[in-house]
Amino acid sequence: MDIKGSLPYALLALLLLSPSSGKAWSSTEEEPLSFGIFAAPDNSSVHKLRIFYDNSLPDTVGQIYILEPGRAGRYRLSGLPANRSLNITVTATPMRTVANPLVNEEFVLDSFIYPPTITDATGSALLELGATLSTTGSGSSYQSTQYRASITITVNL
Amino acid sequence: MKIKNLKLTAIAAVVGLATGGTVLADTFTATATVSNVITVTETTPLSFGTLSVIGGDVNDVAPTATLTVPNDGTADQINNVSQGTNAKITIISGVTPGVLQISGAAADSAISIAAGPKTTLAHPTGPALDFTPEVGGPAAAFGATTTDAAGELTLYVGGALSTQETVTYIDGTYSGTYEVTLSY
Repeated sequence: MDIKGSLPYALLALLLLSPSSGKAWSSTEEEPLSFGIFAAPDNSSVHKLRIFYDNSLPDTVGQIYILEPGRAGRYRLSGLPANRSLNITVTATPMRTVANPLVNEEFVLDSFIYPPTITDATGSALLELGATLSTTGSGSSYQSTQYRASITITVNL
Repeated sequence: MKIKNLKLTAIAAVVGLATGGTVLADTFTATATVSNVITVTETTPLSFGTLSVIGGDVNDVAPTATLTVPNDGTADQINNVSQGTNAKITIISGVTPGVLQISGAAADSAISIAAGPKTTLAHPTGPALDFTPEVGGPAAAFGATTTDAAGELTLYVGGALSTQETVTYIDGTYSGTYEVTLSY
């Protein structure tokens, strides 16, 4: 058996089958992270709205008034190694409105919270994601419209 | 020996792939909707009814007369007339407090209410009456200005209607507008 000659092919096969190849895994948004509908009448200081990953009652600090509660994000991660604890990091862009370009004021998203996430025997896991939205405290007003942010979920093994 | 070394190299490569670097990075959208608008609907306009009004003189000890309507939904107008020395307000027909319905606000939230400033109820050709609006919660829970579970609140409008000094009032309808400011 020519082991030396077959080694490059074995390594190539491993690369193609590896989770980091970009083909074996997938992520699906089962429910988007939403902060619901709220009034933010003051921005003279920082006010906060927290969404919990278990969808318990949202919490506010300061002058944010909930009209319709938000929901935690739920993301299905698949094609990962089985029974593996996932090291997850989440980052976000500032939350801005897209409907009205004249609105400059933005919200800050941070303090992402999620429970320990472990893949099952099939290599699948459900990431439940909460976060904190904060006003900037800049003094500028928030207009009544929808605001959006991009959140990036990164999983390391 | 050579073959054994090659096997070790292959195992090291597999471990490196499984434990190093990013496995998954994907981007999604988070949303929030701001609604700072509180809707105010005037379900019943404030009316001082039909009055007989006599103006006073600037040199009178009490140059004006004032009719006050409570801002709690009651209209105990009989006891709320302050007559001047010569200025007089006499009620001919009933007073109706104004009613404002608040909606679209956050549930169970305290609402700050400010009415004013002082304004006038104008006659098309004659002198005006002074009007200072006052807005408040219902008499059953006086001073309560907290929205209910639906984010709604009923407010009552009253205020003080006063004669001006050294004028002669003529018959007709006196009307005007007033401002109410609501905030969380």
